[in-house]
Amino acid sequence: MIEINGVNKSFGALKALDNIVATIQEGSIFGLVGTNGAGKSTLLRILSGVLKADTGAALIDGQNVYENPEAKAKVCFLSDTAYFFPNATIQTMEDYYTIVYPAFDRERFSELTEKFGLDKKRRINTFSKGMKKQVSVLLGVCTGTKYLLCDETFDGLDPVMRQAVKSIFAMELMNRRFTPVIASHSLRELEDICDHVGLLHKGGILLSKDLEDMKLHIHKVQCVIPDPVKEEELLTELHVLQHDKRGSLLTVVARGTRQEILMSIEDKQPIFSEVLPLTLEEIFISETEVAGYDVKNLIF
Amino acid sequence: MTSKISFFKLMKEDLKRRSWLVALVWVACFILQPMVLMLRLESVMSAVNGGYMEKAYAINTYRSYVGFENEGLALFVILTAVVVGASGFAFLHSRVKLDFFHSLPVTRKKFFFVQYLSGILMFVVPYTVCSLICMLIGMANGLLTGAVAVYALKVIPFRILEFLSAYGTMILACVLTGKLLNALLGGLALAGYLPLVLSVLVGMKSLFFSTYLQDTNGSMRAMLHTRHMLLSPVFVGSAVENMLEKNAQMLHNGKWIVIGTGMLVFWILVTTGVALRLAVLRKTEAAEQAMAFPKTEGIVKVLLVIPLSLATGLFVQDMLYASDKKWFFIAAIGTVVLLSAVVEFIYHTNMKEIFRHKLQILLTGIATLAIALFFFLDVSGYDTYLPAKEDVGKMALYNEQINGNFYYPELGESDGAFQSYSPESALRNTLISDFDPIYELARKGARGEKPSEEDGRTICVEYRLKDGRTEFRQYLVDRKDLEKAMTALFSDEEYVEKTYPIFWRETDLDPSSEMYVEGLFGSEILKLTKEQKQEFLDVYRKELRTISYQDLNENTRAAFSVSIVSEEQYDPYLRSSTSYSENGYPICEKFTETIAYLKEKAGLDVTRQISEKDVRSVEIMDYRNREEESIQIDDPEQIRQILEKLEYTPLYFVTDDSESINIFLTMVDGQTSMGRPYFKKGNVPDFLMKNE
Repeated sequence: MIEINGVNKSFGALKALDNIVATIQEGSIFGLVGTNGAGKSTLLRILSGVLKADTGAALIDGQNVYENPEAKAKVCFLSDTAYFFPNATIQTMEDYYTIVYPAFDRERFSELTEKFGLDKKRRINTFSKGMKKQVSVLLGVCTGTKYLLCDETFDGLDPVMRQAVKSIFAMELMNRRFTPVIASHSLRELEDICDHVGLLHKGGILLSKDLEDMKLHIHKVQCVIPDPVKEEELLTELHVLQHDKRGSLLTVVARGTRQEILMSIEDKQPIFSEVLPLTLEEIFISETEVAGYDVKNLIF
Repeated sequence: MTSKISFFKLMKEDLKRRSWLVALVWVACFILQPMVLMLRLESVMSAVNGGYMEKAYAINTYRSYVGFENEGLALFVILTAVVVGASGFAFLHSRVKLDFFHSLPVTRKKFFFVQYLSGILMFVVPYTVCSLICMLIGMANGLLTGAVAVYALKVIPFRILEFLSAYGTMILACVLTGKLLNALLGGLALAGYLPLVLSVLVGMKSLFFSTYLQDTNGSMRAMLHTRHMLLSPVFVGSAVENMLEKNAQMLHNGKWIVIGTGMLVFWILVTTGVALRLAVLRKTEAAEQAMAFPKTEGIVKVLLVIPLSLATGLFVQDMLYASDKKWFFIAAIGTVVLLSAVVEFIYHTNMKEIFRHKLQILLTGIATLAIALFFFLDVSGYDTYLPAKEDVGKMALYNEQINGNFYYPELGESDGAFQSYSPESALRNTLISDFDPIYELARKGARGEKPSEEDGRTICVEYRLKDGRTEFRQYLVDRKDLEKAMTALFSDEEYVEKTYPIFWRETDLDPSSEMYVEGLFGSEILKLTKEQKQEFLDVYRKELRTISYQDLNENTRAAFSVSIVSEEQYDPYLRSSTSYSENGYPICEKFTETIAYLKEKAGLDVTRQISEKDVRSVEIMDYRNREEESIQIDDPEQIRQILEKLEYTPLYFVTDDSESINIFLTMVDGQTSMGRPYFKKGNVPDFLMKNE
């Protein structure tokens, strides 16, 4: 488990992280979302032991991570700009990772590079940006560390590769204790990968929730209720987060289980009703609006 | 898990990553050591084999190449240290690299040692191997004698220590800064800062204190003194090697070598230790910033600007040859503003911010001015310093007209040659207990009594205080006061014996030392056997003890000079030696035994009168008018008139009542007069009076 206990970090006069308190449970894919400058990279760099928190502590399985090789050995950090040695090939980097991460799985790495069509003997500086990201992720996954911290690693990957990486993560989650933490400035990049998301804004965490949990308790419904009085009654009955009416078609985003909401609608004798899929963006907009933030301005 | 990460594997990986540098150092070492040596020896050995050159010369050439004399290699060592240090620790200046390296399960300390030791290997292995190849080359050519082998083996560890010191400094500069350019500038600052401060101190004393004992070899030499370099963590190695080389040539006392080696080790420990400590404390976010510890920015700026501004002031004053000190102040204050702006630009690379810290610039200017005024107004009372007589144990006086003729040993206090003409060496060798006449002169000098330009004489004084301290001063004193003091001093046998090295320099006289007697007649070599030379010296010493200042000034007929060849300086390879000559030993009229010995054993009559028949021509350089006039006189009658009025001293004394005319006599045998023939004021031959 990763525990972030009141972490503060400033760069000169700039407060990058302001009393962050959060917990990242094992076995989930944690998405860290926030605008540029929200403090995502700073938080990941603290969690990987690159930066030292001014106050507070970042604990990896109960151990302070800064200058603690034992704790750091459980973490692999993939920076937003992947670093490879000058003129290095994939093989060169693999050799180095094998030294610094003794649990590095060479066999799996070879298998994955082959699957991704990456030539191990080719110089990395001749690769495209996306290919470099692939190399970086594959190296990170094969380190065998319990925690993989990815800073904007998925931004820019094409959908096929995203899917491939997602499946690798799923496989790792099944086969071993593995907890990836993925930071991104875009929720859209994370919604199909993460199952838990934390929203960072101006150095503080606004929200940290399980996606499935959120999806189970927020629903979007479209319906046509001929009686305006009953329509009003419906809006009062439901815990409405958002509603919109175009012509006779009423669209409602409300908190509650699918069954509860549908029962309320059926009760008002609608001509038509259906439950629509909610995007992660819509869930976040709804959740953060309730918290008093106009999240549209923050992350979209 | 961490313990499984092999330190040596990390080192191996670092060496692989920097394989370009490993190859470069190997190639450079190979070219600069065995290859250049072979090229040099090729021509030398062919000359030796052809019988054109002694083998000893080839050995000496080889020795100088593998030894401390090879300054090019010393420079290469420093440059390599800079490049290896910068390449090993430049990752500290890159955020991307730090994100990678600092996220690895390796402590910063361990990573420091990995980089540090692999860097050392990069230099030590190729350098040592190439040095050993050089020894094999010497052996193959028959040049590696036992002594040369021992010497060459001694050079290797010293060069490695020199590397370590410069290497540690460069690493420290990398750790202290956030950009490579700043690291290089920082390395330069660390290398030169303390010698600069010391040199500025010497320069300020020299400019503002009239009693400061100037280095006779020039102010630049004083400023670039080898001993100052011991304070440089980069150049300390070269300074020690320089001392070792002089020591190898018997030109240097060992005391400073011990101190220098101590300083070298000290700098290695300090630079490496501080760099390690700061590398652990250094924040990762310092990468790409000007300084790794932002709070030091202001301090570093002020500490750099003040001495550099003062140094610029000294430089400008020196360039202008101006007596008016205002140029010093103008240049120093101007440099404060300019340098502050330059440093701010280096920090922020933004022209708009170069004058951001105006108060800091103002305070730096005030501090610079305060230091300059401290010297200018002589707040410390340097020029008026006069210790209480009861606190003084001994004193010495340097009068150039007398002491300037002789070499005095350095007594291990300096890094200069074993023998020196410097006033400091003379003073250290001529300390006397009965110093009243010197103290009286010093008292007048310290009081600042300024004699007229014509009557002013510069003297140097050493106070050896009873508490062990030593103070040197230089005073301008009145000629008459000096003559009075000299008269008193010459009556003190201790003064005479210490002043004339012939009394105590017996060991330096080698059979090949030659002796000359110089007078109006020219210079004659003494054709004496070794025993006769010794006999002559015994006679001479006995009479010299009785000399008075009046004898020296008025009754000296000739001077005896000796070309000294020190056995210790004899070069066994070159089969030659460095000789130096002293030509200030007076032969006065009252030295009857000396004169008789010279006449009897060397066939030389120093008392013989010179007539117009002995002189072929006289050259007159007349300076009485502003323009120099040169006249060649061949007419016997005119020569007779000249000889009639001619006065003579063999000691180059500038007699106070002499005319500004230089006279050179050429004898019929081709010899030229030695010493100083002159006319007394108003006693010039009639035919020359027309020139007035």
